[in-house]
Amino acid sequence: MLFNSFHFLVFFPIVVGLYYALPQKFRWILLLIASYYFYMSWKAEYIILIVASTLVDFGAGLAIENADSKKRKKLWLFLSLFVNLGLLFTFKYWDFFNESIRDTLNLFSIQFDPSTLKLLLPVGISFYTFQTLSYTIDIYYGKIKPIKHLGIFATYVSFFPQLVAGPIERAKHLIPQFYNKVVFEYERVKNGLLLMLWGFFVKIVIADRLAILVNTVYKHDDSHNYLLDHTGASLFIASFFFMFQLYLDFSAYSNIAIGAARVLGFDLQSNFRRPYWATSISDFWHRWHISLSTWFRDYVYIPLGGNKRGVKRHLINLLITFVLSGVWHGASWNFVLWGLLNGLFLIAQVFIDRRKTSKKPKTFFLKRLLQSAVVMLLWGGSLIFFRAQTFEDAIYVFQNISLTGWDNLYELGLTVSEFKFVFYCLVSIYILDYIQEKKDLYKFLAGRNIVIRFAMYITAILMIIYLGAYGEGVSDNQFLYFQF
Amino acid sequence: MKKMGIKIIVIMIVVLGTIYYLDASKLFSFDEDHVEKRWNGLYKFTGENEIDLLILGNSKTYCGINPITMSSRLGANTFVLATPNGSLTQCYYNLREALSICKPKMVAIEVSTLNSAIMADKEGSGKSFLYKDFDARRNVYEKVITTPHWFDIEEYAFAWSTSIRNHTFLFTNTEQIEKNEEKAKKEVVNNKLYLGRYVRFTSGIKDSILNKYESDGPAVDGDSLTISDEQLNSLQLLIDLLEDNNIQPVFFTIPVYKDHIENYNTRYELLSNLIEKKNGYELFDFQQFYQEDILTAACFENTYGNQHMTYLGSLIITYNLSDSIQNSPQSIGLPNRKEDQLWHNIFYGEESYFYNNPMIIGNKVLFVQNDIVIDNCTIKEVGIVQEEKVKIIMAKIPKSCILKSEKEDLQVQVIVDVKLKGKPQRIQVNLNYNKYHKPSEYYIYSIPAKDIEFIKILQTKVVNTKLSVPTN
Repeated sequence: MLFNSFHFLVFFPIVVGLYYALPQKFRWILLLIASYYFYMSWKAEYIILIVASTLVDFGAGLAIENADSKKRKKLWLFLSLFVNLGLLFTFKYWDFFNESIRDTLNLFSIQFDPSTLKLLLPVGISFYTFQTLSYTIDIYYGKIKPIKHLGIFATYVSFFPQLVAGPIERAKHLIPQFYNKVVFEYERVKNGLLLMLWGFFVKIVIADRLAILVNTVYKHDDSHNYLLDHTGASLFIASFFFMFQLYLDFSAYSNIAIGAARVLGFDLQSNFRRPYWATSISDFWHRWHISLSTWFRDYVYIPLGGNKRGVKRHLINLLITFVLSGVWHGASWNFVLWGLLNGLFLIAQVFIDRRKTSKKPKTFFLKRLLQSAVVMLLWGGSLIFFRAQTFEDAIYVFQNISLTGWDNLYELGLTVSEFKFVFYCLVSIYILDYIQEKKDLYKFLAGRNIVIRFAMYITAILMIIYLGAYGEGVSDNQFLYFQF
Repeated sequence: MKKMGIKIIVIMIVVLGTIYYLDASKLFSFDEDHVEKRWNGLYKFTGENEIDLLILGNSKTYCGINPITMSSRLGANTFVLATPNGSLTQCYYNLREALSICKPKMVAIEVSTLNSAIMADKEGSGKSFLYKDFDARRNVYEKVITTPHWFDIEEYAFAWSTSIRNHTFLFTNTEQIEKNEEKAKKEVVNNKLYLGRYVRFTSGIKDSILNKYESDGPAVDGDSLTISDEQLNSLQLLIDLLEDNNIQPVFFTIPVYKDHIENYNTRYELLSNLIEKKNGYELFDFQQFYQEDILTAACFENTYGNQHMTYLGSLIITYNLSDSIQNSPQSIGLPNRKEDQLWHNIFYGEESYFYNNPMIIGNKVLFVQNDIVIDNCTIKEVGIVQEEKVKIIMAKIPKSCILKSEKEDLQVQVIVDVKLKGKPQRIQVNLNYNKYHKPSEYYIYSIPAKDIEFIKILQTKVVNTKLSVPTN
C-alpha cells in the first residue's frame, strides 16, 4: 500500500479510530494486523520474509542474552546476521553478484554462466533488515535487553508507518513506546496530521511533477535508450530536478511516516534537516537520511575504528562506510560509484577541515548561499550515478551535460505552465527551508488566526487534489526509496 | 477528540463542497460524447414516454442497430443502451439503473458482450469509456452498488468526480475549461429525439482489406473465443434480474463480414448451449445464419480488426432483428403502439417512419418517392400520411442539405395526379416548412389536403421563395 493512495486514505482513519477505541493492552494487536495488512496489500507472500526475520531475531535476541559464553553469544549474533543478510543478499544482490563475477571472468576469457533468480525485490527489505539487525547487535554489545513479548517485537519490526522506507528505528527508541499509555492529545495528533498533509503536498504536487520531466529524459527501457536523445540543458535540468525530486520525495515519505506515527502516539526520529542548506558535504550527511547515516555510523564506521585510529585508517573507514552505503541503496555498480564519490568528497572535506582554524567563522547569507550551491553541485553530480540506469548512461550524461540548448525545455513532459509552476515551487521550498533554519514554521502557523489556518489547510488539500501530478498519464508515482 | 473531529468535518465539508461544485459546474468535463448523450437520451425519453424494448450491448450494437427504424417497424419504443468496449458486467449494472426509470417489456442483449473480459483488467480507452459511462449515470444508489464491481479502490475518486479525474486540465487543457465556462453561460435546449444510435461508419470494406482477408486469412478464430467466469456470472445475474422484473430476454448477434471470422460454429455452439439450451431463450444469430446475398462488403466497417456495421448494414440487421422479434413467440407482451396517435407524434418524419407507416387506401400502399437528389440535396421522402382528421402531403429534407436560416424560405413543389371530386387532374402542391414537427435529422415540409384522392406523385422540386429561383 502506498501512502499516496486512496487505499491508505481509507485505511489510516480506520486504524486510528480503532486504535483509540481499543484499550492500551490490545493496541499492539491492532497495529500488528494493520502493519501486516499494509505490507500484504503489495505482495502478500513476501510477508513470510518479515515473519522469518522477526522470529529469528526474537529468538536470537533471547539466546544472546541467555548464552553463557562470549563465543555462544557471537554464534547467535552470526545466526541473526546470516539469516537477515542472507535474505537481503538473495533477494537484492544475488543476480548482481553473479553477473559481476561473470563479467570479471569474461575479461580473462573465462566462460561462466551463473543462474540468475530474477526475484522481485521485496519492498522495504533493506529498511526492516537493518532495523532488526540493530536489535540483535545492540543486545550483543549489551546496549539493550531483549524483549520477551513476541507480539510487540513483531509490531516493532513491521510498524506500518516506517516499514517500507524508514526512518530506520532503533529498538531502544521505539520498543518502549509500545508500552507507553497513549491518550488522545489534540496538539500531538494535529501536529502529526499537519506533517502528513505537508508530506502529501510535497510528494504529489511537486516531487511527482518533477518526476515527469526526469523520467522523460532519463528513460531507458528494453526497446530504446531515450537518454541518448537528450543533450546539454535537457540533461542539466533533468539532473537538477532529480536532485530536488529525490529530496522532496523521500523527505515527504519521512514526514508522512513520522506524522502517521505521531497521530498514533509514537515518536520517530527525524530523517531530514534541510540538507540543501548544508554548509559542507560533511554537514550535508548530518542532514540527509539521518536514520541511515547514523546506522552506518554506529554499526560500521565506529566499529571499524572511526577517526580514532589515525588519519589513514580514518579515511579508509569513511570510504568503506560510504561504499557500503552505496551498496545498501542498490545492486549496481552505479550505486557503488555514487557511494565511493561521496566517500571521496568527505575525505576531501577532512583535508579542508584540517586547514581551518578552530575559531568558528562568522556566517552571512551570501556565504551560506555559496556553500549551499557547492554542496548541491557535488551532491547533484554524484546523483547522476544514482539516477542513470547504467554506467554508460551516467558517463553519457557527464559528457553531454551543459547549459546550452534550452530550446526544447517544454518538450520534456511538462507544459509551459507546469514548468513555471514547479520552478516557483522549488524556489519556495528552498526559501522555506532557509527560513526553517532560523524559525519554527509550525509554531508560526499555530499562532495564526483560526480562519487563516483553516484557509491554509483547505488550500493545501485542494492544491493536492487539483494541482497534484497523478491519474491518467502519470504512470509511476511510487516513492523513490521503495526500490531499496 | 471531539474538537478535532468537528474541525476535520468542517474542513472535509468545505473540500467536498468545492469538489461537488466543480463537478456540477462541468468545468472539467469533455464535450458531450455519445456515451453521455445516450444516458441523457434515456432519461429524457423515459421522462416523457415508455420504453418497450431495451437493447444492451457494445459498440457493435450502437453502430449496428437503428432504434428509430426499429421503433417505426415494431411500433414499440426501442432504446439502445450500449456502451463502447462494453461487457455483460457493464450491461448488467447499466440495466439495473435503467430499470429504476423504465420498465421495458423486452430486453435484447447482443452476445459479443459475452466475452473474456474481466473488469479489473480494463485499461486505456476501455477504462476511459467506463468512467464516461459511470459519469453519465444519475442514480446515486445504483452507482454506489456498481462502484466496487467496476473499479479498483484507487479509481473510486476518479469514477465519482470528473474534476478530480480531469484535474490535469489546469495545466494541459485550459481551453476546455474556458469552453466549458462559455457553455455554462448558454442554456441549450435539445429537443432532438435520441434513442442511443451512433453512426460511425458510412462506407464499407474496400479492396485492400478484402485482399488482406485473402492473404492473411480471417482476423478472428471462433475456436479461440472464450467467456470469462465474470461474464458468465453477469449473464446469470442479468437473467435473474429480468425474470424478477417479468421482462422477456432475447439474445442476438451483430454479424461481422463473412471472411472476418472462421470456425464460427464453435462460438455458436457455445452460445446456443448457454442461451437456448441452458436458459431456454431465443438467440437470433445473424452470423451463424449469414445472408451472403445481402450482407455484402458494403455493410461492414473497412477494418481488418474490430469490425462494426456501416449505416447500410445496420438497416439490414435492424429490419432482420425487428422481424425476428415480431415473428417470435417470445414477443408476446411487446406492444404495438401504431394504433396510438400520440406514438406517431414521437416518430413522425423520423428515419424510416414513412416507409414503415405508409398510408394505405384499400389494399394499395400510396406514395412514396424516395431519395430525390436535387443539386446535391436529397429529398429523403415525399409521401402522404393520414393524420387524425386530414391527409397530409409531406416531404422531408435532411438538415445537412440546407442552411438552418433558409429553411423557412424554402418550398417543396410537388406535381401530383389526383382525383378532385372524382375528376382526374394534374396539380402542383406547395409544401411549406412545418414548424410543429421537428424530427432530429430532417426538416419537414407539408400541407394538409382535404377531399383529394391522390393517384401518383410525378415530380418534385425545391424553390427558394425569397429568391424565387427554383433549385431544380
